[in-house]
Amino acid sequence: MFERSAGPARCPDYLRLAAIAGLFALPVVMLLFYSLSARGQAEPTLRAWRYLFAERRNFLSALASSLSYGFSAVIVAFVSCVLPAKAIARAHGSHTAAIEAVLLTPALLPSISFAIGIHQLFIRAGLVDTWVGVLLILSFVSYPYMLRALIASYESIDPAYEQCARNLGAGALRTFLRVELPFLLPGAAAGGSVVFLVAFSDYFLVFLVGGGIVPAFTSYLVPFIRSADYSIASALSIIFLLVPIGLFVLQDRALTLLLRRRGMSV
Amino acid sequence: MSRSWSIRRACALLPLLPFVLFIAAGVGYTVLQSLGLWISAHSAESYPAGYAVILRSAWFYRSLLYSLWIATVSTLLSVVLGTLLALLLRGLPQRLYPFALMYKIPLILPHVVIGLIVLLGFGRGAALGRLLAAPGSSALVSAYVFKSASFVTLLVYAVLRGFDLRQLETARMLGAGALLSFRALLLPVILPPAATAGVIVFLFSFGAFDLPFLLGASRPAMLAIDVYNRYWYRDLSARPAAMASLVVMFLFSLLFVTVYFRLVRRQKHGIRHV
Repeated sequence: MFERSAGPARCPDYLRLAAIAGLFALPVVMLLFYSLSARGQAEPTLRAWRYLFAERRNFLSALASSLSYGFSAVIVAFVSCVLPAKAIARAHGSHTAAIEAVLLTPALLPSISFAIGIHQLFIRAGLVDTWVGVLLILSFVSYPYMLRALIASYESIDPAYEQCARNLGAGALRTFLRVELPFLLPGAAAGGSVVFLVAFSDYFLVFLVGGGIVPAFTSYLVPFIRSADYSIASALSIIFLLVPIGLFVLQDRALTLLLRRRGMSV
Repeated sequence: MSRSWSIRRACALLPLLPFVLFIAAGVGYTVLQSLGLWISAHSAESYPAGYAVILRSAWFYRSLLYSLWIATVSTLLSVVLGTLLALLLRGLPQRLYPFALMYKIPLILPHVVIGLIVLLGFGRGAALGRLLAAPGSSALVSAYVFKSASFVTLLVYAVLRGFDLRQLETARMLGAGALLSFRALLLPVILPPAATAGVIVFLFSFGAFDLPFLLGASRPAMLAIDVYNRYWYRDLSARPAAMASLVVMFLFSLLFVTVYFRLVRRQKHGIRHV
């Protein structure tokens, strides 16, 4: 009863829901609508979808490339952030806050402010136009999301667990794999989702370092937008929305299954 | 277990050292080139520093002010709309909440797709486009707001979830008006996450590239676009000025990053994003 009457505005619930839908679902409906239309033609057409089907090799290889550096960025972030996250979570004092702030800053700064300098370094190092170069620059801007998530996870693990495992004779690796990792997984999944989204959806950095040589879904999409071919651009955007949603659902299922098998609640 | 930074604990930070070094080197290289040094990979020739050029040129001030202006407007609108949306979500009964999760759609959408959506909505012939006649700025601001309002909602709603709505009922029973109960009860809860979200939104709309690249006007241009064009399409003599404006942009952003961490530290038990 209180729940219903105490809202900020007294309007029916379905109206509020309609407002949210209008704001956020309508644009997606608009994409679908445009993907089924063609310029100067009133009736719906499958032209854009047919085109994508005919061109499937190009756009699937772009998608595969984006997925590959997206997933790799998640792995790089996890591997490089685990130890620092634990150290930061277990330490206290003013230094800790400063170290954490410095390490999180790359995600907050506009990436162009340091990426152009890095681009020139990459030119000298021969890393431009390479997949590795793209992965590196995407990792630079996305690892802080993983770091923050892992710090939060480690803060919630009682250090006594680790001590207990060590006392029972488990080595450092075994303690990490059997005791800490299960606790870290939900946080790592959340941080990993953001890392993946940042890497997968980036246009500028991939374009700057990849130079159009490293295929990318964003680089495939943008020319259609620039040349105002909105029906094909809309069809591609729908795929762009579906891929991460599908991955999130999959990840959620896998995580629930994994943790349940280990007898942990999610 | 020790609580301070021993050598051993500091060593645990080493895996992130390459990232920090690369970024520092990127910034360092930008500073060097802004001073006219190390411009060409092939010759040791040096150029005059770029700062005198940008301080004397009109385009720089125009781009900087324009970027700050767009970022300010986008931030204010995103924070207000995002907070209203969070309040609206909080008022929804539990059973409807799963449907309301669609507010997260813009968080998943890449910036280039947000750009496309705004182009479709604001394009020639589209109703909204005719309504808001100025294409460049209003399209850019709407794109930023569409993307960022959900982000503000996410952070504000996370805190509002722990807010007992019965407090509002009690306040009303004790005779408080809507304004007073908002100011005394809701505002202190909403303000901290709204402020941190606001700083992040500001930083993002100040320096991002993707959206102004698709939507922005070329004159005045957002600083990121201006710098990019000077870096990519002009000859080497334009490089120091482009890099100098990047340094200015970096310093401005650093200022806001400091504000962000101040805010976060003050609300240590609040919700943190990054």
